[in-house]
Amino acid sequence: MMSGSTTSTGTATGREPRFGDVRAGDRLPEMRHVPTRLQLFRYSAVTWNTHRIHFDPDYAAQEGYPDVLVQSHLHGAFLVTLCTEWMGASGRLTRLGVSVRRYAVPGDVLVCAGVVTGVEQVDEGHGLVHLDVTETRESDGAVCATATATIVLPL
Amino acid sequence: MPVDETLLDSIRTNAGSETVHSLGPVTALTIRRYARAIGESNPLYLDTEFARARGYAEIVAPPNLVTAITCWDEGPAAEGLREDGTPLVMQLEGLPTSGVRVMGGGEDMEFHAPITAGTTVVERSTMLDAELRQGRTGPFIVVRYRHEFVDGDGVLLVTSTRKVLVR
Repeated sequence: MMSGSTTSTGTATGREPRFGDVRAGDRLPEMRHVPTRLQLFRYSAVTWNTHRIHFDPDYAAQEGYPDVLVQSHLHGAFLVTLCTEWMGASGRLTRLGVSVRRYAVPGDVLVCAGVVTGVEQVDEGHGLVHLDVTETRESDGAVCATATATIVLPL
Repeated sequence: MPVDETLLDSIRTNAGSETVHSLGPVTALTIRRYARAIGESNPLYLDTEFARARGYAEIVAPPNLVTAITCWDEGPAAEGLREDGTPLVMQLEGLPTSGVRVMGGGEDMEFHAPITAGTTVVERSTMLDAELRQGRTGPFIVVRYRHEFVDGDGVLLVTSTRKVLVR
């Protein structure tokens, strides 16, 4: 594979959600990412992150890792994309609190999933949707990153 | 360097003081490249006409772009880098520059306003507090920083509270 691949299971309706359609317990369509060394290189390059742990496999081996490591902000970016794909262009992500729990390496299949934990109307036109989101490695079920997120949707 | 009360006290002397860095403009090229690197095809990040039709002046940066950029200038010359590739001079105020390992421990970001291409960003950083904890493999210090990213007029764009682990 030449570069990191991203696939989505697609939204059930194909239209952007409105606040009134969303209920606690709703699940977001899952997204899968398979990061590659090339993707990690480009991510390090564009963020000007010179840490060898992300691009030098020999250095990563010295540190005891099986390959170069996915950057913590790239884990975060995958969780951002899960939220923004679901909410569409009329929603706005207002908060994301990320915790990276386990390392991931190129070739890992990372499954991003989310569930609505609560909804609250804020004014005549908008409501907040609160979410728990996770990024799980498919091969062993290890949770690599977790986050809570808040999205503003039109009513 | 021992990770102990003495180091904790020395780190804590920097708590509360704010540092301000002008980061420069977030360019359209940076936004496009960042979108490519994370595997995004969202036209808000890539298509100027689409962004304008949605009411933005220019393409919009993916939400966590400004917090993800490690270095906003050219960075140090090769001799200014450590064995692990990171700069000898840490950008985080108040931490020792050698003898300890520093790693990220989570980040809580609030996105106040979209950042469009060409926006000039200023970062205000404050060390909030530091705490010594006992882990399975020994003591470590958790340092919390708050970063505010504002535009040239001082309008709040993104705030981030970040935990940094020192061991």
